[in-house]
Amino acid sequence: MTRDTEQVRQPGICVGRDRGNDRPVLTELYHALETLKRCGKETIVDIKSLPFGSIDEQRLAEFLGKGEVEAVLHALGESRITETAFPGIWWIEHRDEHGEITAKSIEVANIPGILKSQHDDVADACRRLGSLVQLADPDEEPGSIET
Amino acid sequence: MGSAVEQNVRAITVADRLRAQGISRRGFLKFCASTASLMALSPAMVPAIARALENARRPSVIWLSFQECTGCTESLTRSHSPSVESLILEQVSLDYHHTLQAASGEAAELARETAMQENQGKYLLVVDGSIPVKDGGVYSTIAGITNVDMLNEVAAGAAAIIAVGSCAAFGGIGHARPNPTGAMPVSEIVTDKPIVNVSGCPPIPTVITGVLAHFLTFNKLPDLDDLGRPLAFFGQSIHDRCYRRPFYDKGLFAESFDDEGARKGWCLYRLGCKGPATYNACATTKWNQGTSFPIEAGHPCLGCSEPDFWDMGSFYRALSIPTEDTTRTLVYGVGTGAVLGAAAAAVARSRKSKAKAAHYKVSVNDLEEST
Amino acid sequence: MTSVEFLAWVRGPMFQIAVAIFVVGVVIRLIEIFALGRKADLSEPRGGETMPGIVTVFRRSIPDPGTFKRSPFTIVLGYLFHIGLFITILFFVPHIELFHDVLGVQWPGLPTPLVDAVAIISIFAMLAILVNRLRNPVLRFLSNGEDYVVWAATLLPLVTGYFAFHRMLFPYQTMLGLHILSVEILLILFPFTKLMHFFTSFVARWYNGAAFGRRGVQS
Repeated sequence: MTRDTEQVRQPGICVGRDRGNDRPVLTELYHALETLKRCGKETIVDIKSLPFGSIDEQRLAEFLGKGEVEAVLHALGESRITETAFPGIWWIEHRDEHGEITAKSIEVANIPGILKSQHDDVADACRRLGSLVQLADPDEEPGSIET
Repeated sequence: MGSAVEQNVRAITVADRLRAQGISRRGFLKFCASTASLMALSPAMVPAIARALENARRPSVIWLSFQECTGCTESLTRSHSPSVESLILEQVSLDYHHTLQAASGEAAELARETAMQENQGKYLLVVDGSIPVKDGGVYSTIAGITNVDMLNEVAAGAAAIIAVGSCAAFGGIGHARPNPTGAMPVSEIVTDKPIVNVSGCPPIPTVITGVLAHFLTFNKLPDLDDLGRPLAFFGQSIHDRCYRRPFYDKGLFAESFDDEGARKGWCLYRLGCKGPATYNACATTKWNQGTSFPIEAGHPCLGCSEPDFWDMGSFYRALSIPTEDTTRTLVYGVGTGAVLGAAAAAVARSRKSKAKAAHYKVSVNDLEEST
Repeated sequence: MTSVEFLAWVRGPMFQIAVAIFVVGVVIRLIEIFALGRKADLSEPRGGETMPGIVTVFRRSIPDPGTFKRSPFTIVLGYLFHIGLFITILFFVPHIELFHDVLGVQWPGLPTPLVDAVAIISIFAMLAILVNRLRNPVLRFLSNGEDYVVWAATLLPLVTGYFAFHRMLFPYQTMLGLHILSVEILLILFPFTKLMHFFTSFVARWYNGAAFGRRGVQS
C-alpha cells in the first residue's frame, strides 16, 4: 500500500499501475518450485492474464533475474526462453512475426516442454536424414541411425 | 465432383494445414500456447488444445451484417497486424461477408446459399448489427430479403451463432429508446440455436478471434455467463481488474477532467465511470495491440458491453445517480403533498370544529336528572 | 428479468415512485400536524419560548444519568447506529453524487475505508439492538410488528450497501440493485411508520421546551 503512494509522489512515472500483484506470484512460484523438487511436477503461470501493472511485471522480472540459459526459438516468429536466476523457473515469451507478444508465461520445470525436440519433428528429421544418408551410402540401413 | 474435392480439403485438420504451411511441431505448440492465451485459458490447457486441433476441421463461416455501422468488422480486421490471430482466421473458411468479399450482387448471395447447402447443420453463423422487425422488417434489407428473414433462413442450418457486438447481442443503439425500427438482438429472434454474445461497441478483436478459436478447437461454444457472453472474457468487471481500483478503495476521485485528481490518475467514478457494473476484458486485454484502454486514457468506462447501455443515463454521471430527473419528482412531490396536506388539514379542522360545536356542558344535576 | 434490467428499473422508474411516495407522504403528514394547531395559551408567560425550545432540542440529545444507568445498551447502541447512519448516508462519495444530482449541493466526502468501518459498526450495533430488544422483557413487551419492520428496513440498506461495495454475494449489478431497492423500501415506509421521528422528534422537543419555558420551568 505504501508503494502506491510513493508512485503518486514521483513525477513522470505512470501512476497507479502498481497493483502489488507480483508478491502473490512469487509465493506461487516458491510452492511450484518446491513441488518440482519434491515430485517433479511442473507448473505454468500465465502472466498475460494476471492483473499486472507495468510496474508489477517489471519488478517481478527484475526480482527473478537472469540465469545461465537463454534460448531463442524461431518458429512463427521469435520466442525467448530464459532461465531465471532461480534454476527451474523459466521466463517464456512468445512473439509473432511482427514482434508482438502473443503469450507470456513462467514455467517451473527442469526444462520447458517447448525446448525439447518434438516427436513429430524428430520423425520428420529422421526421414529426411535417412534419405540423405541413403543417397550418400546406399548400403547403409537407414533405420540403424535412429537412437 | 467439385464439391467433393472441396469437402476433402475441409476434412484436413488444422494441425495438417499448419504443417503443410511448413510450421514445425514446436511452432504448432507455440500456436497452441498463443491460442490458449487468446482464449484466456490456462497454459495447462495447451496439451488439450493441441490434441483438439489435431482433429479440428476447417469450419465454414457465414457472416451476416444487419443494422450496424461496420465498427465490429473494423475492430476485427484493422486492429491487428497479421499474427497468430490471423492464423486462426485463416483456419476458418469465411464464405460470406458482404463487406469483405469480392463478389457482389447475385454472386455474393449465391456464395451464401452454396455455403449453406454444402455445410448444412455444420457452419458457424456470425452476426453483427441488430435486426429491425417493425413493419415487417422493411427498415433493412439485403438483396431484397429483410434482415429478419435472412437471419431465420441462415440460422436454421447453423451449428452455432456468434452475435458480434452489442447490437447483435443486445440490440445496441438501434434498440435504444425510442427504437423506431423495432430493432432486436439475435437471441430474441433465434431461440433454438446455441448463441454466444460477444458484446462491446465494438467488441475487443481478440475476444472475437478467441471465441472463433474456441469453436475451431473444441467444436463447441465456450462457457457463457447469464447474458450469453463467454465467461473467459466477461467473467470479471472492468472495476475488478482496473489499475485505478486502489484509488476507488481509498476514496480518491477525479472530479473533473483536468483537476489534480485526474492528473494523478485517480478513480473516475464521479466522472461517470460504469466500470463497476461492466463486464468485459478491456482492463486486461486492452486495445491497439495491448497499448491502453479508455480508463487508462483518462476517460470513464461507458459500459458498452452491457445491455441497453445507451439508456442507462448520461455517460458522465456517476453510477449512483438515478437515471430519471429526481429533482422534478421532488418538487412535484412537495407540491402534491402540500395540496393533499392542506386538504387533509381542512378535513381535520372541520372535524375538530364540528366536535367543538357538538360539545355541550353537562352539570352534575343534569346527570342526576337523567338517572 | 435480468440483473441489468433489474438495476435499470430500480435506478429508473422505481426510484421516482419511491421518492414521490416519500415526499408526498412526509409533506402531507407534516402539514397535517402543523395545521392542527394548538389552543391559544391565555396565561401570562413567565419566560421566553424560543431559547428554551432550542436548548431542549439539544439537551434531550444528552441522556440524563438516571436513564443512562437504567438502559445503557439502548443509549450507546442507539447513538452508535444513528451516527453511523448519518455518516454512511451523507459522507460516502457515491451518495454525495446522488444528493448533488437531486439537491444541487455537494460537500466533501470521507475516505472510503472510514465509511466502511462506520458501516460495519452500525450493522453490529443494529444487530445488538435487536438482541437487546428481544432479551429485555420490558422492551419486548413494548415492541410491536412495526418496530421490527422498521428495524429491518433500516438495516437492509446498510447490509446490502456493504455487500455491494465489497462486491460480495451476487454479481455487482444485482447487489447494487438490491441496495437501491432496499433504500426505496425504506423511503416508501418512511411516512407511514415511526421512521417519521426523523422529522417530528426535534419538533416535539422544541414544543416541549417552549411550553416549559413559557411556564418558567426548566425542561
